[in-house]
Amino acid sequence: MTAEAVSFRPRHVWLPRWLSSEHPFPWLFPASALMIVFGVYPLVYAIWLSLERKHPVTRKLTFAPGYNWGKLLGDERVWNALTNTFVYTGIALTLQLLLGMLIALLLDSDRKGYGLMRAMMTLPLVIPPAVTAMIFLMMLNGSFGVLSRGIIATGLLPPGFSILGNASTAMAGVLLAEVWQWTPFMVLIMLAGLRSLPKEPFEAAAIDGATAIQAFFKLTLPMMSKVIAIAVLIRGIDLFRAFDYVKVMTDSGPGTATETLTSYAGRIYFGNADFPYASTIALLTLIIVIVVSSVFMKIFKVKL
Amino acid sequence: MEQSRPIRVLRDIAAVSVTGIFMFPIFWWALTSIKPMSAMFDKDRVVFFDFVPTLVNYAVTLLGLSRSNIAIDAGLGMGVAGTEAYDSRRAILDSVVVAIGSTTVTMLVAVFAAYALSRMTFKGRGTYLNWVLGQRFMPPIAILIPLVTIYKSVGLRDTDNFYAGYFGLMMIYALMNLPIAVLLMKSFFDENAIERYQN
Repeated sequence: MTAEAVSFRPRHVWLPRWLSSEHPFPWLFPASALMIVFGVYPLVYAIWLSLERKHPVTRKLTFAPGYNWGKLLGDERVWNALTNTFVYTGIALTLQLLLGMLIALLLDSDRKGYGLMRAMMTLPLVIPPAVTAMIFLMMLNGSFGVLSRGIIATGLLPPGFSILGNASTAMAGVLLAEVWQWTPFMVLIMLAGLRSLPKEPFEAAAIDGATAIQAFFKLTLPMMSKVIAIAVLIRGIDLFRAFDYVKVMTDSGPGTATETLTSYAGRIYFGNADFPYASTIALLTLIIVIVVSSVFMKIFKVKL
Repeated sequence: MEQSRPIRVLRDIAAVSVTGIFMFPIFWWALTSIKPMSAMFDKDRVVFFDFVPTLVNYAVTLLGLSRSNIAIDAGLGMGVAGTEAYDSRRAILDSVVVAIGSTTVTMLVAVFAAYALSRMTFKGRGTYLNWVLGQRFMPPIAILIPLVTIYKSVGLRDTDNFYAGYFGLMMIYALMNLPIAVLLMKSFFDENAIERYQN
């Protein structure tokens, strides 16, 4: 069969080269259209909005490039939200990483029952975050929640204490739901990493009389560093835009104790209808995510 | 690595209890769904198993009944309350329609893009791939605020025409899932290189 015989292009129809199936344009057009209309255009619109000022009475937008960004720097609630976001991200990431590593090591065995336990461990991942938040809201209820009751029974908290209703403990309550749901993600990634490690170095180490702990720190950790770095990057970005748990469980409260950057932007938008300022806060989140993740990718040499 | 028997038993116990702890919220969630109100909101103790299981909660959400009607039908006249507002059938339908629609859009769009990104060499291919993957890192709130405004002005939000409402949701979910779909599809095309079919 010659090349001419399988050519399906009708000879008499003239098409420009960029519309032919050999050119990437027709293939990439649907994806590009989707990303431009629903991704790039809103982003440009958000940037334009952040340069506008909304008049509180007439609601007219006027061009005032420095107004929102200046307001941002002087807004104490932004700094509070920023601190909360970093605390939330830092604590959740550390706990998820450590717990994920420990549980992965614990479940990495071929003995009977371990496969089932690994499968069960992934169940939290399929629950929608909002539903998880509802479950924990129910379990942390001060009067009827099973977890609250359990902690109160040990005498650590006074009777009727509402974990989500107190500024000092609300963040811990939200973090509990977050850590419960996403530790299995870390376990999954770590297990995949552990399973793909070569066997020979460990056999050699065992012959040389290395203890299990030495083998872990000298062999497992260095070989897993790439996997860990990617897991931290993905989780870190997701954590930084935390919204679901905070919105459902505490709605940024009590007061502003669990207010993150994204939930503050949502509050400004839906509460005050000040969308130029809400856009500015959302853009601040985007800028921080881009800066921190590119620094992280430079330092740890992560390639996507 | 070989482990001695006591350590193995300890490890089994630890693994089972860790899995148990992680399963508890799901178990409690399922258990609560068949509890009557009195067991759910008992102010004196936490009710584990000593309650009469009921399907009232499922009837309220899936059949559109109200708690008070169920109670009155059962012969109770006092202290009953509850409306038909917990009927979830429409919400379930919405979820199914949006899920199917957005998955279809994502797959159609992603398969074409991934094919070109995998099988063709052209200028700016790496940049394009980075652009697609970059969507994954964008905080949704950054585009959501303008999108709500845009949707409002073109009639995709708060609309009586539910086709328009579904369309807006499908497109934004398709955008959110595009990076992962393109990445998976591209690795699939890369693995099944064209040389295989050229015999």
